[in-house]
This record gives sequence, structure tokens and C-alpha cells, in this order.
Amino acid sequence: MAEVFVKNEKSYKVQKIISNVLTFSFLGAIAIVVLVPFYWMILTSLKSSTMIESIPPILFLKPSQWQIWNYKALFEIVESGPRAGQPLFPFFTYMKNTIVISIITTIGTSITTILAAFAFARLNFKGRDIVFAIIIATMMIPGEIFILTNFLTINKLGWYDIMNQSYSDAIFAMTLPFMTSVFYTFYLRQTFKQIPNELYYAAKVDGTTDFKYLLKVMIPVAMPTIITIIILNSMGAWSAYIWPAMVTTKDQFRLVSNGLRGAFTDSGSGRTDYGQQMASAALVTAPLLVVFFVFRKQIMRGVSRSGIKG
Amino acid sequence: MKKILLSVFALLTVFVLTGCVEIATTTTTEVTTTTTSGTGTTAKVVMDLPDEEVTILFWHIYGSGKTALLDKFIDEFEAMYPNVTIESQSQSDYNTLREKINTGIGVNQVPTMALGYPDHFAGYVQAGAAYSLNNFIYSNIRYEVMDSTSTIAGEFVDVSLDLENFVPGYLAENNQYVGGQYYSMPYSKSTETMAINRTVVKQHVAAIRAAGIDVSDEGFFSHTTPLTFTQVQTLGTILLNDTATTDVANFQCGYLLNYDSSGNMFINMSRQFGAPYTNSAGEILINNDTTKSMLNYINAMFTSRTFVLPNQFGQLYGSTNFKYGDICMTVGSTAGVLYNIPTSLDVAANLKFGIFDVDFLQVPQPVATSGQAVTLSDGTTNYNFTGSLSSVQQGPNIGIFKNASTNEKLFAWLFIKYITSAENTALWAMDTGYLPVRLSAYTSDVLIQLTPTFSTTYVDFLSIATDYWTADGDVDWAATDERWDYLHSSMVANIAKNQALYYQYDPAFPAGSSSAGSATIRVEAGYCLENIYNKSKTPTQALAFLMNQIDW
Repeated sequence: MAEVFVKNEKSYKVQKIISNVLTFSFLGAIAIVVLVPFYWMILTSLKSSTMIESIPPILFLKPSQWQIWNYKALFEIVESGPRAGQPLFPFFTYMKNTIVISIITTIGTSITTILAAFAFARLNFKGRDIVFAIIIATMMIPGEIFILTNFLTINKLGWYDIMNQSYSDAIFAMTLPFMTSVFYTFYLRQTFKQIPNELYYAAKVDGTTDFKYLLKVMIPVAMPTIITIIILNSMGAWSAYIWPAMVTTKDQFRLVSNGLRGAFTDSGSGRTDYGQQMASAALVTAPLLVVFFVFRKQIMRGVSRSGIKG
Repeated sequence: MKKILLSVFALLTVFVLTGCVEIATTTTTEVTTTTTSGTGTTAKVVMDLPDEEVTILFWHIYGSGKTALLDKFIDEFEAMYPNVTIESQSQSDYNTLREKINTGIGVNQVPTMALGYPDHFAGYVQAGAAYSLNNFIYSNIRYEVMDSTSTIAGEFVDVSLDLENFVPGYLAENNQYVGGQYYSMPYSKSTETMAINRTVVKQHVAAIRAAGIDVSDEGFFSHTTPLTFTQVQTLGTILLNDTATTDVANFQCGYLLNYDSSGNMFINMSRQFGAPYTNSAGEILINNDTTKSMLNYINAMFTSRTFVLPNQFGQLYGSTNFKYGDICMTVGSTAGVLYNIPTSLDVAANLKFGIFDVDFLQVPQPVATSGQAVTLSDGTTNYNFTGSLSSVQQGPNIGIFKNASTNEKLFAWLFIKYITSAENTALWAMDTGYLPVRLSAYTSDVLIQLTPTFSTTYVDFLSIATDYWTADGDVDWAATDERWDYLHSSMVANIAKNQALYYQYDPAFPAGSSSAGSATIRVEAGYCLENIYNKSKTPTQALAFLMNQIDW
């Protein structure tokens, strides 16, 4: 009996070791797949153009070989000519615009999402489920389809006047169409629906208004979901490309994603300075990484709750 | 119902009439004078130049490297016309620029003028948004600049433009649209030239001469007469190693001639073979026997390693492998010339021939003069056709949009005239690496400061290479002489100038209901050659696949 037990224990240990090896090998392989692009971005940002062209590719660089110039070039100032004193690549302007857009879009989305989700989860009004079903159905339409209609709306509102677009026009044009999200509304509504009705009725008995109940009870309870929405939405706004390029008329209104696209490509030969482009991309990615590390618990919780990723 | 229809009709009438009306705000004095130009006598109507405040919105894609000179041109122009403000805005890249204009056409939000490729303008013309520049080119109006603060106060400005001064190929590209109208003017033009490893050639001078090809002692081929395909094949027997690896000891490469752009290769060789390709009406003419014959010839050249594409090395361009010595010759854009020059910044171990000498030649041609019958052979099959000289011209043009006001269009046109003047196109060419759009620019004596210590005129810039070639490379320039820095750019400028006589353009048209647009066809034509190169398809299959992709 004891022998059988020892045998089983040994077998169990072997199985566990094999299972662990397989699990960690798989996770390690996936981690490599995820990390290699980041590593390649950093590595390329530290290479000269000849190192980038090198065949076979250079996989590692000693610190003494690092071409910090790619980073320095991003902050160079034009010394002479009509643009004297202006940055060669307006990195800080692009970053400022990106941060402003991310903050405004995220605040707007959070407000509309919370209010809409509350209405659909808690308030009783005629046709609520039908309206919600219709709204959910719009998720089946690809976002690109909305570009033209959004563009017409923005134009009608006077925010896309190519001769006289102001900074505030550009900000409104870039943010307004993305201040709502059907998916986030649906996601938050499901969370709100999990909050017991008894809490609502108890609050009502105490004379609490719907809005106060939302602020004092529902939002605190659903805070992990709301934080997930805030993080995912701000990441989406940070990487937005097509729409900001479409509705901004001046270079100084653009986001960093748009700036990265054309700034390092020679208009004549069509060749891209990948070193500088990757240096710039690394700097753009850095704030997102900081956000991820600071809020990783909330992000992971959100991911595990919803099965979504950014 | 009747009332509704009437209302709609009334509204439509109002809109149509409003669209037709352009309020002239210009004329104050009209005097008719007669002037004599090179082409004859023209009666000019003299008018005061409009002095109302005008803002011109100019969309382009130039980054900071090129906008410095553009901004200088704008400053000068605004000093000439103080009532004009030009807002120069970069729209990041060509696709974004085109998409924004196409979207903006529907809501009347397009710039006054914009940079664009011919297929972009073809789309704008089709959408009815582009303005015909014939209205200006053949105008008989002469304006007197009345503003005393202008740098040209009291002078007369002709609206018309002398087209004889422009490179003919560029003009042909810009008036290919409906009715032969000019909807754009050339601006940032480039072409393709062929870089050649002169260090390798120099080691085989005797053998090359024995094969009947003229070459100097130092390995220079003719810069005025292009090599023929037959001569290129002959060079292959001398410069190519038996295997696909470079033989450093015997100065032989693994591959002979690279074409950076497979799309350009397809189109240009179609012209050279006299094979129909497309036309500006959007007809696809590719599926013909001459094209099939051309593809079979190219396939044979791929197989013998006489021709190669960058795919062979997993690259987008052949310049890296040219520098590494894997390839002896490479055809690429004049705008990317310096990528072909090996330097001390390259990883030394990769440079099989070290830092070798590079010369530039015209792209290979089937014949010495257009219209000659020629027979090419791959050793087993003969390819008979009537050959033509052809080299690609590429790069964007500038046009004006219809929705601008009369005065905005006028000053936008004067700005186009200003930046394409002989002096300014020469300045633009030397500063950016593009090519001058006017033939007269090649004799421009305007000085441009290329570095804080080096200024030159375009004539002297061209003579850097011609002096070097005349001396067979044995010039007595000091090592610190800045002419060395511009030697290769000067070589390319000279070659491009010689090729300008036979530039051909790719007919431009937008996608239609039954076929792709010219830009897509160019891409697919490139894929066709890549499929043949990769041996994934035979020439016949590749052509059939191409037709299937572009003809719906």
C-alpha cells in the first residue's frame, strides 16, 4: 500500500514537473513573441542606418555602440531659415495634443458611458430594451463606416474649416465622435446589473435621488470596471490614427501617431529613417508602459472580468 | 407634389447658377498692348493686379528638411505680392493628403492648391474639383503691380507661361487628362539611374573592350549613350560569378543588375519593348504578345542572374546588397542616390569590395535610338521587337482647385510660376535632390549656399561630375575639397539631364467600375515580376494573375 502511495506520489511529481515545464515553456514562448517587438523597437532606435540595413541583422548592441543620436535628433531645433527656433520634429507639440485628446475623450466617454449604462441597467422607461438592442446592433457596423458620416457632422458643425480651423475646433473634431462607446456602455451595464436591486430600493426608501444613488452606490461598487474602461479608452485615444489625421488641417494640431507616420520618410526616395522613427515610437510608448505598470492590477482585473484586452 | 418638384427645381437652378458665377474683382484699368514673344505676336491686355487680401492654402507632404527652402520661396513671393498670404501645410504623407482632399471635395473643403501624383489629379479631375491651368497658361493678361510696398512695384507680370522651357516628358504627364488640359504642373521630379561598381569594372577593362564595349582605363562607360540590354548581358558573362555568391578574388558579383522598383521595371520595359500597357483613358492593354515576350525575356534574365530584384535579399531596395558587393549594378531613384555609396559608416566586414568607387549611368535600353528593330537573345530564344528609348519620370506635381476664388486661383498660379522659375527650380533641385523641371535651369547661374563654406551654381554643380569624368577620375582636388561631397549627386543630375530627352510617364487614371486605377496597376505589375522572380508563377501564369487582379 505504502509502495503504491510512493509510486503515485512520484508519478504525480513527474506529471507536475512535466506540466510545469510545458506551461512555462508555452508562457515563455508567448512572452518572447510579445516582447520581441518591444525589444526590436528599442534596439532599432539605438542603431545607425547602416546597422539597420546590416545583413544578417544585428541582434544585440553593446552600450558603446548605441546611437543615442536618434533620440537627440527628435529634440533638435532648426538653427536658421524661416523656421529658425522651431523644433525639427515637433515632438512635444504632438505629445501635448495626444495627452489633451486622451484626457478629454476619456472624461467624455466615462460620463456618457456611466449615464447610459445606469439608464439601461437601472431606470425603467418604455422601450428601454428595444433601444438598447438597437444600440448594441450598431456594434456590428465597422467603425470605418462611420468616418464619412462623422466627417459630415464635424463639417456641418463648422469644426473642419480648412482655412480657419482653430485649435479648439480641432480638439472638438477629434474628440466629439469618440465620446461615446456602445461596447463600454454594454460592459458597464452588465456590471451595474449585478448590483442587487435591494440596495436601490433601500436608497429610494431613504429618499435618495437616482443621480445620488449612482454617485454614492453604483459608481463606487463598479469602480474596477470603470477604471478598466478609463484605461482602455485612454489607450485607444492615445493610438488613434485615421480620424485625427482626417479632421486636423494643420501640423501643429496633430497627434503623435500621425507625426510618426510621415515625419521620418524622405518624400523623394520614399525611404524611412527607421532609427529615428523607432526612437520616437519608444518615447511615445513609454507613458503607456508607465500607465500599465502603475495600474496593472486594475487592468488585469478588468481583463479577467471581461475577457478583453487593450 | 407639384409644389415640391417646383421647389426642388428652383433650388437646383439657384445652386447651378451660383456655381457658374464667378465675381470678377480685378479690373480697374484695361490697356491693350502688343508684345512679341519667341512664338509670335500676342496682344496683351494690361490690368492692375488685384489688391484684395488673399490667403492661399497650399497642402503638401514636405517635412522640415524641405520646407525651409519652400518657406523661403513663400516669404519672397509674399514680399512680391504683399496682399497675399500663403499657408503652407504638410499633410504627413501622400495617402493622407489624397484622402483628405477626396473627402473634402464633397463638402467643399479643399485647399487652394496641392501637391499630388498624376493619379491623384486624375481623380480630382474626374470629381470635377481640379481647375484647368490652360486658363492661365494661354492667358493674354498682363498685370501691373501697383502696390508700392511690393518688391516688384511698377513691374508687369504675365499670367501666361512659356511651356517650351519645360522638360517635354513632364508636360506630357501633366496634360494627359481629359481634353489635353493641364490640371497640374511638374514640381518635385525624379527619375531612375543606374549605379555601377566601378572598382569591379576596372578589373575587367580589357575583357570588356574585347567584347566590343567602350570603357575607359578607369572603368567609366559612356555617360551620354546608355548601355544596351545586349551589352548588359555581355557584361554578365564577365562580371558575374559562376555561382550566386560574390567572388572577391576575381572581382565578380553573384548578381549583375538589380531593379529597385519592380513596378517601374515592368512599365519602363513595356515602353522599351513597344508593348502596350495602359492609357490615360483607363484602358488596360497589358495582355498582348509583346508583353508576354518581354516577360519571357525578363524571366530568362532572372534565371541567369543578369537581372535581380531586392526580394532575393529580403530587402525593399538593392542598395544595401550593392554596397555589400552582392550586385554589380543597380537601378534606383535619383532621390535615393546616396544610399548606394559605401562609406566608413558601413559595417566594414559586410563590404566585400571595401569602400569601392561608384559611377552612375543611364538605365539600360534595348536600342541606341528609338524605332530600331532589335533582337535580344537569352541563348535559346530570340525576342524580336521595335525598341524605344525610355526612362521613368516620377514625383509629384502641383495643381489648383476649382472652388478657390478667382483671385486665389490667380495668385496660386503666380506662385506655381514663381517656384518653377528657372532659378528656383534649380535651387530646389540642388537643395532637395529632385530634378529641375525646366531645361533652362541647367544653365542657371544663381548661386546656392549648399554648406556654410560651399556655394555653387547649377552649371558648376553639373561640372563637378563632368570634370571628374573628363579626367577619368584623376582630378587634383584636395581631400577636403567639398566637391567630393557632391560628386555622386552631380553624376546623377548629369545622367538625369541626358535621360530627360526620353522620359516616359505612367498614364494616370482613377479606379473605374471595371478596372483598377493606375496606382494599383503599377503595384500589381510589380507583383507580376516578383511572382516570376520567385518562380511561384510562370510568365504566362503571372500575366494571367495580373489581369485577374486589375481587370474586374
